[in-house]
Amino acid sequence: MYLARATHGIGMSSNDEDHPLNLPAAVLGLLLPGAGQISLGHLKRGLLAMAGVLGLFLGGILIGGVDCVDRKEDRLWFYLQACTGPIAFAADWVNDSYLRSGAVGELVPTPPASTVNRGPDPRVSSLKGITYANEIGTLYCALAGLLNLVVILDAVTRPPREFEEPTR
Amino acid sequence: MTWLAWIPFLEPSGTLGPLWWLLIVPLTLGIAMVHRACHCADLSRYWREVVGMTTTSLVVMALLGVGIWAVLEWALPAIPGG
Repeated sequence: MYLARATHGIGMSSNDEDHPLNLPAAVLGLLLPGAGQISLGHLKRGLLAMAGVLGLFLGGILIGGVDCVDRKEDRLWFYLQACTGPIAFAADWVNDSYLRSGAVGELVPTPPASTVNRGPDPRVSSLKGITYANEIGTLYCALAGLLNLVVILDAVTRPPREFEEPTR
Repeated sequence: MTWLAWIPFLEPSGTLGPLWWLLIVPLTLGIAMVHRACHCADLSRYWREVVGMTTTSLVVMALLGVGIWAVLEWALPAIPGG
């Protein structure tokens, strides 16, 4: 599979040569943000991308708590967050294992959503994130996932370091 | 909740209060870091470009906010019969 290099792209070299897509770099980038660039020899570029993506993801969890990565309650958001890689699934596992189970904090009854046929009150962790902290934390983590997609696409199309033209 | 009782990463931080909107700054910085890491041709200018992109994004968002505020507070009430 080959991709014609765009000659007008920002940061791209100006030659028109084709080069194969770096699919292994994409897999590495999905496992660890920035690892794709690092595997191609772009160590500094990969580390900077990694710092940005992981900084946003961990910043989101710091702001909203680990509850802002929730595969069951916020499924659509989790689809975006999952693009960050295994760290998103790890955060969801921690949420399940520690907060939802009541291992940390305590489980408290929530206010009834309905006064008719409501059944037993659902119980949630007292550490569950609510209001803006949860919303902003969720947004941070989702944007980290989307940005990792950008990083992966960059790794797929970027030539390995030995083939890249030196910058002037 | 006090800072001493806060368990980082497990429970949400809730002490920013009315300054919660300032969280747009690190968010924009993170986006700029990743964007410039992919698109910066010369990494020796990386941080300069990150700061430039962050500043530009924040200023444009602030101007958009001022514009929307002006429409809501001045332009719409000035329409006769409104």
